[in-house]
Amino acid sequence: MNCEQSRQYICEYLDGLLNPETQEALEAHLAQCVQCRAEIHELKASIAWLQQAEEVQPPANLRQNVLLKLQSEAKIKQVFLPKQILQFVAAAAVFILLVAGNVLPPGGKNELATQNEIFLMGAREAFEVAENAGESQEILSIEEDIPLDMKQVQENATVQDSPPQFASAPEKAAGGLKGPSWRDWLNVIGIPVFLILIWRLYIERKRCREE
Amino acid sequence: MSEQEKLLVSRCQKGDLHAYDLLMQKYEKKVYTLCYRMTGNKEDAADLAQESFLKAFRALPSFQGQSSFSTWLFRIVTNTCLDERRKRQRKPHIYSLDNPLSTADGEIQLEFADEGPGPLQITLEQELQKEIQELLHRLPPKQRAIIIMRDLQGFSYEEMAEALEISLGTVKSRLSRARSRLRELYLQREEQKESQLHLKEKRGADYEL
Repeated sequence: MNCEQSRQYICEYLDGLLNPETQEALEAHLAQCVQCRAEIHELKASIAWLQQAEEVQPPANLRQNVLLKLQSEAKIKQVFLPKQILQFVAAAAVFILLVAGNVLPPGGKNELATQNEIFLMGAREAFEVAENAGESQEILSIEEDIPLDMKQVQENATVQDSPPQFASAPEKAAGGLKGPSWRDWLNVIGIPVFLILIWRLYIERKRCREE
Repeated sequence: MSEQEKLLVSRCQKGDLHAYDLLMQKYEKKVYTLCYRMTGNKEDAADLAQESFLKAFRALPSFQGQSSFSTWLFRIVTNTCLDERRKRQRKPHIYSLDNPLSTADGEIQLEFADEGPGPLQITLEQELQKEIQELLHRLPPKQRAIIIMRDLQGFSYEEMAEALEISLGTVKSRLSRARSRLRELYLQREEQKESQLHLKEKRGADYEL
């Protein structure tokens, strides 16, 4: 065994973990190599010096602090904050709106010819207001207002003009593929709002749990 | 893992905090010691130990009993201690002995403020403890961790491999590097002490003349 090889085994030698043959070979090398002998001596001395490190005692309230935190965590899992309830209700309302919009059969009057144009206008208005509003809750209330706005606009529109070329009944019956319907707009606005609300609720809960 | 410990672990997994208290009682000293030796100050050590226990309880539902509870726990503790982000946030409380006077006055006072008594009351024993901690702190964190676990806490190579998530071969090579670095630092310290002693003797001789 040379110095390079013996260095590989020194750690295990110090910990008494070498098998008898390797230990014998290492000791044979040590018997004739002053340098390696000195190295082992110094290693032993430095470890012994380090082991003078005194025992340390954990602070008395360590476990208590952990238990208190865990206890309050378990409570938070059950208790919802008012803000979170509001967010949940808002998300649920948007969800119901989405489902209703997509599942319920279209009302008779709404199927008038100018519907596409009218709802485009209504939706654009909703978009503009929604962009100005900061809070998602506000967006929600606007969302709920949309049908009202739309009805008003629609009534105005039907009084003012209804160009027959855009609005022929057969086209409508064929599926109204000409442009985005009010349902599309509802989905385009409603789904992101719904996702944002859910995401915020999730973030809020996570923050609570971490605290 | 003993039967009693298995029972405690499964009770903890169901959310039994009393059982967790018993488990913590068993390991808090070892966990705290590791954290203390890694950070070098009591406040950070308490923070890290607490955080490790919290993390462990939260992660307990996913503990399947592949390894023993203690190695699993120490994996969490070492990861918490080695976490890079935390290290950057933490202000080192220990200053190098090499150039204590080159720093501002305030910093030197802060160093003593940690100990409580003023410089004159620091006994030799306290001085030694401080030196040990300072020397440990000059090892790179991963080497520091393995030295603490092996030479101060008596972990087996296998336990260290599991807790540090490295192979047995890596344990050996890392421990070997850590110990030779420890030896270098120790020899440096001895040399310094000796030269200080010579300086004192020389001064004494000067006064006599």
